[in-house]
Amino acid sequence: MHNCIFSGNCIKSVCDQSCPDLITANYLLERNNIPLNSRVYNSNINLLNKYSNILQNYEGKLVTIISSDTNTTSDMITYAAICKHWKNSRLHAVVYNLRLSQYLDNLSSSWNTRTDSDDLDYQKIWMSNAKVLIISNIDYVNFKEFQCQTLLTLLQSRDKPDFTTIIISPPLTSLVGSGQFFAKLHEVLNKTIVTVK
Amino acid sequence: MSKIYSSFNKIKFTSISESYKINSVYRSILNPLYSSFIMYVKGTFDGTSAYKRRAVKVINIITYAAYTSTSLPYNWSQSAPFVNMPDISDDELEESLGDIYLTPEAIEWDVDVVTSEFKVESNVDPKKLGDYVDNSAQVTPKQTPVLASNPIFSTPTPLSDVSIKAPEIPQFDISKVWVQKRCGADLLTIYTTLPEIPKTQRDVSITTNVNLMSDADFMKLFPNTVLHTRASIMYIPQENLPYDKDLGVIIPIEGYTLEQCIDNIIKYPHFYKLSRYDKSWQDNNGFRGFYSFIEIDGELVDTLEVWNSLDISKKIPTTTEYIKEYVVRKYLLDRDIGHKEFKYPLFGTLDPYLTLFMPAEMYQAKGYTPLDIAKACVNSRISFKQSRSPILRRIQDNA
Repeated sequence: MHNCIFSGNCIKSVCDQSCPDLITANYLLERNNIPLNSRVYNSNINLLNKYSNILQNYEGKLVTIISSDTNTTSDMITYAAICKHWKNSRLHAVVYNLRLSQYLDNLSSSWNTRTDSDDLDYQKIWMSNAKVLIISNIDYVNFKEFQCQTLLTLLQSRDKPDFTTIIISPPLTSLVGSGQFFAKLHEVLNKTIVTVK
Repeated sequence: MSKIYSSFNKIKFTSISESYKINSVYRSILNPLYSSFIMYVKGTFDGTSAYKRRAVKVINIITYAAYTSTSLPYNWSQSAPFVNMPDISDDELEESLGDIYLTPEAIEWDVDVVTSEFKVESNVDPKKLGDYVDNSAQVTPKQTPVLASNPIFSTPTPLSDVSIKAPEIPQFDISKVWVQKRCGADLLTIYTTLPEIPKTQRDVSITTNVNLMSDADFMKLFPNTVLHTRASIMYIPQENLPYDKDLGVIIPIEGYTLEQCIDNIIKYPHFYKLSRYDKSWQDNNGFRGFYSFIEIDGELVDTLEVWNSLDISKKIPTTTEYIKEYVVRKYLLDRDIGHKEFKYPLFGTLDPYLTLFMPAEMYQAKGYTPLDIAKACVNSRISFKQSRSPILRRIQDNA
């Protein structure tokens, strides 16, 4: 298949559109907006392996990774997580990259329309069920009380042994926000920073 | 992140082992290596920018290895520190080392330039270092062994590095289409996999081009320790069966000597997804597990049905793994040494040295030529995957 990430190594008996490996891996890649021309397929493999180690070593925990290029980092961690968890995922969004700014926008829009959009519905389902949740785009959010509370509540709801939550953040000093909850969020992020070695 | 050492705050090269501000946890590991490297530089320094860059990179990589618990290649030696160093980008080194990352400008080069024959050595184009390494290795095969007790070097090659499966994180370059053809509604494409020069045996894929690989690239594929690639039960000694701690149990096969059976294990240290194929077989798209049947007089018979009638059944344990080993090794010996023709041969190729499971020195000690078998390993893996690729098969069927 033209969009199969395993094609260079495949030794299965048949190659067709119904191949379980193709379907399962592609479902997760599409769900997380990683197209075939994404840079993750041609990125630093050592860094990907390190992200993979973080996923293994911090399974079931909350982790904050500081990056100066949050978009690339979140895509790379998402890809590393997909490669780790695609097998036997049975078309469940076991790995989900939640773009926080988009989620907050969808929430705001739902107040105007007084109904949740399909996008928002799915975001809520996936972020609450994903085995590995990557939270990105927090550098595009102005953290006031509501935004902080929403994120802190989400983190609290993910505090389960089976759930790994990874926040991709720029250096904490560059986050934009104010108020008591912002200080609390800052504290939570600061406590969970993991250095990529 | 700002650096501790810069052109304004230089560190003397010869003081690196004492005053380089590394984490104290790693000092006992790193100081002997720094000292050894300083001695080497004192004897070979040519004062050029290129030399300084290479020297700084070695220090950064050694430090990086300690900080990240990464093993340096088994074939790296303190007596030839520029050789066989892993290829780690400056960006990654800088990211990992943070404020202690060194640059040539941050070092006060308090070393005299050596103008003897060493000058010649330092003029070697770093890009051709691989070729240079191999030549020197032939002249002086006994290099100072790497500190075996040093934790940096003690991380053994993981078994996953020699797996035949796809890499855990597939990488490829979509700008390089290796093959593409439309078959019905499907656009079948194989992109060139990355890294193009395999760093481990597992990186070898359908698209690997051996012509891009230098001798040094091949030699890097050997593990730094013996890996047990056969089923775990094969490494449990059995009464009345020959046993080797590295190779495991050696199953005697009638018609072949013990040496031939040992050679067979070294050439084929493990089996992965072997099958037979016949279009007329309706089940599993024409594929049958190789071990389930034995070909006797041109007929396939169920292995379990005839097992008790075979002499070997009284000599080896009746377990799945032993039966599998026997069926496949007998087939391979009959094929390679007996030159027997089979009506139902193995599907796809299975060439020798598909997996290198011992360090190069051990192969050499057993009479094998490491470089030759490393090349055979890559070719064998390419052939193994190409001959089983369902994509290539569909393309050929639609040609």
